[in-house]
Amino acid sequence: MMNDSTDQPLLTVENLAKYFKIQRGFPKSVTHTVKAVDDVSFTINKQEAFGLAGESGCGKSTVGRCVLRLIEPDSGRVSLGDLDVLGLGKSDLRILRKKMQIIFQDPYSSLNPRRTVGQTLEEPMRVHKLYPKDDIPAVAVELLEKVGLSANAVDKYPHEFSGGQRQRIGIARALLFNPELIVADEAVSALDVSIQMQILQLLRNLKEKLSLSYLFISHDLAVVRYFCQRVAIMYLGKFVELGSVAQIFDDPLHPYTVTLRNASPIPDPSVSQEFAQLKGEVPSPISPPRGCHFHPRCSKVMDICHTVYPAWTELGEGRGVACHLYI
Amino acid sequence: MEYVLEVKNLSTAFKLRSGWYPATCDISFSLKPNETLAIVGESGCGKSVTAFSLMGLLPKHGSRIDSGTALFKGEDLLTMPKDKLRKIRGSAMTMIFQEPMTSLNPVLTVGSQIAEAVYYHRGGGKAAAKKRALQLMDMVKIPAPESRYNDYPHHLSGGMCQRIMIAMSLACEPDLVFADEPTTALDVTIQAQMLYLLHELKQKQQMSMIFITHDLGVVAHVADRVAVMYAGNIVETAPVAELFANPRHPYTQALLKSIPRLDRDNRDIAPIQGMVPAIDKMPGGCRFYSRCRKQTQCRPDEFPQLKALKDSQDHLDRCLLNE
Amino acid sequence: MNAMARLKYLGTETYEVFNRNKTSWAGLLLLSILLLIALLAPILAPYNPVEQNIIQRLQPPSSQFLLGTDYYGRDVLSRIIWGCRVSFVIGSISVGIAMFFGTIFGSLAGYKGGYLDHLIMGIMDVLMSIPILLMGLLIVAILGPSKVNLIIALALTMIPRFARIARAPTIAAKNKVYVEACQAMGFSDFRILVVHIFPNILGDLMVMGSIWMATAVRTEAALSFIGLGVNPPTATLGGMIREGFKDILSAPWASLFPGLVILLIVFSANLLGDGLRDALDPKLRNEN
Repeated sequence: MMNDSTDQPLLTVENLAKYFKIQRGFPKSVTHTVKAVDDVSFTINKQEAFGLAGESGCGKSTVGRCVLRLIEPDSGRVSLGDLDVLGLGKSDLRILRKKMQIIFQDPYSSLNPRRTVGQTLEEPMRVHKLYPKDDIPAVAVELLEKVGLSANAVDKYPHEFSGGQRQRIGIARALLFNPELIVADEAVSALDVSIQMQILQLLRNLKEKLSLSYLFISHDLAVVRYFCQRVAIMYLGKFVELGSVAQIFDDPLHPYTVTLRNASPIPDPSVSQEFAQLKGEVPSPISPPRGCHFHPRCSKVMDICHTVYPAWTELGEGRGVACHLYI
Repeated sequence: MEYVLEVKNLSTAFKLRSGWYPATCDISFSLKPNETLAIVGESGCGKSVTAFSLMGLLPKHGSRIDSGTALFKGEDLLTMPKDKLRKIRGSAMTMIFQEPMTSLNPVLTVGSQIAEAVYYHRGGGKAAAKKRALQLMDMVKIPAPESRYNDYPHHLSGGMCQRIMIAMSLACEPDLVFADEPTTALDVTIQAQMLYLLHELKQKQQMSMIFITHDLGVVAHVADRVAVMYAGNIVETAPVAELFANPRHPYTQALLKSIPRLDRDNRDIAPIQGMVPAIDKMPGGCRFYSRCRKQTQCRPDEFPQLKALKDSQDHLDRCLLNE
Repeated sequence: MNAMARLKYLGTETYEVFNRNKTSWAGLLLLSILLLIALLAPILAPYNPVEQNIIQRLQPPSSQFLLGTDYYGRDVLSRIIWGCRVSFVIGSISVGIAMFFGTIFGSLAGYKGGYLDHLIMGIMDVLMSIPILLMGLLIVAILGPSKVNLIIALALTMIPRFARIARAPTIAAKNKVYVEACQAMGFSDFRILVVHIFPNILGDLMVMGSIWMATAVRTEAALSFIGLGVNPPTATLGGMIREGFKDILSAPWASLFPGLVILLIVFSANLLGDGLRDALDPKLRNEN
């Protein structure tokens, strides 16, 4: 991954953690702690798309929101360049919003149905006084054109657009502040297959043109492979493996990554895939298994896996894995 | 050859505020015993509508079947009296739905819901129904069926609920099972288990399946034959290996070129530009014309028919340039 | 261009909602007629409502006094027309105040959640546990009978109801993705509540408003009936029933007609409210 200007990463996340408390039981309730995100660390470089992949409940969306402080993490450190993200006071969060933005999964509910597209795009500019009042409508039109929509979209309501078009509006909104990093939270998952690639290419073009970085959250491994340079695989709140997309998908090390990769159906009947050996369900995040969280489903489980959680091991060339097989 | 299902020229229409518009047009396909046909297409292409119209489950108001025949073991589903259709539905012809968590009744135990399917169609005592239900739960690989019998849907995961749905649909040894996006709402590892289960069941049971999905990866590993739908039409039908190796319709070709693959680097991927026309703004000619890369060689006003290719009777497509 | 298009859209949307249920038209029509009568009281009322004329007391309906006269010889029709005015004024102002404060409390509680939610809704629960008439009695006993105090009493009983109405849709809206998008845009909570959430709860509030208007009128009548309402000689519908009550058998018109008018107001407001609620409820929700 060539970084031309400097070697300093754009975003550094260290030991990020977010726990949720759940109360269950009647009449005497017991408080369980769900470790939605548990000791997660990674960096994103400039003009890089970093993928965060895993199944539902693994914590990837929570990581994205913690980085943006849409959810307040419980511990850890997040730095955007020199800015200490978690140390900002509530009133200074506006600074953050201008540097990091988000694209949501559901194009249908991420736009206020009672506001026109123009109003939705102009409002943040007015509130934050980004441009002189009279220039704002023109900037909105410019943004729409940048994402492939025509100028007459400004007077229309969200329900007049298709899913793909609404997602473009969402992207235009994310670009309002000229951010450095965009968190794409399953940004194409709710779109039709033929539209997905349109949006992905749009995002890719914007990455080049505007020097953007992405934290690309997705459960679709093929999309991650296409769009991202590096990827981290998550399971029950923790990273199990991290590396370049070629490394992770061509030569996965962690048994869960292997499972995940083998389970993704490839659109080619001539490639034989064995679906038979996958066992068990994703365990409840309230009480994850002792030792390595994956051990009950692991085909290569050893004695130590039942009792000791494997430490993160750096394997060089930017690869890392949390598995006793490689310690 | 005795076909389980023979659909000819099925057309449906939907009512919008501004009037009635054709939804699906000229749907024709045949299904052999023990065969799995995948109907693949994007949202709004009419794949679910086709299944619902065959099951007689289209909403009463706002939709209608305009023409066509659908012979299920020789009898036309579309002209059958309603109570006869109802007897078939749930026993000889069943459906697995997309959202397993919400398709089950939340206030009844899962076991009783399977038993109900048995009891309603086959009669017999409650005890016999329960026995059969447990048998079915075992068949769909639910661990410890006796204790799971009395669980409620919210106690079970999505994958488990989907197994219950499959058990319900197999209760009366159906000849035909519709599966409407049964794995879309599931995690990929659970989906893989589900696909394997369906594969196993197909081998043990004698049943044909119509598998509706938008996921070409799933199609590649589940289907014997594939029908590709676009904007209410079937645009290509072929055996699965043939379709992926040798797609002939420009939409199929473009679709296959636009999906990223996990096993390679995806350098020559290209999106399909444009959008599907709205239901009330369908062109009179080929519906894919506006997005087709072979546009310049073609004629916009002529509506192509679904025809077999010259070199393969099994492979049909709906394209003027391939005639 | 933008504003015109927006107004037109809002107008057609409201009309379509309204038109879905025919009873709302009936309610609206009836209520409008009554409102018009009340507004035009100075022109419509044939006689002075407070001027006594003992000679003409307790006259049955005739061509001279269309609805008869009361104990003090005042024209019942004129008093009813002016009484309507009082009812509408008190009803709408108290509902307006209650809606304003109730919405603020309720949506604040819903949006912030947690401790503030419990606190605010706890206070609302306490207020709501006091029966309406008792509240009226208390306020009037403490502050004395007058139009203003009556309005205060009525508003206090209705504030918690509006708070409840405002709270649930606020919580629902808060969880919508576009609200999260507003937070990502760095909007203040105030802005999100007022600009983004409030329009979504307006519909429910309107429905409640019209139904509670009816209750306000009824309550005012009840309080006036027991003597704690607006002071005589001002004509109020409830007061008229009270005054005419002792002669109910010999001169029923003095109590009957005001009672009928209360019935009409309450009925039409309820029709309107029901119609709005039915029309607004599930059918409009699939606008997305």
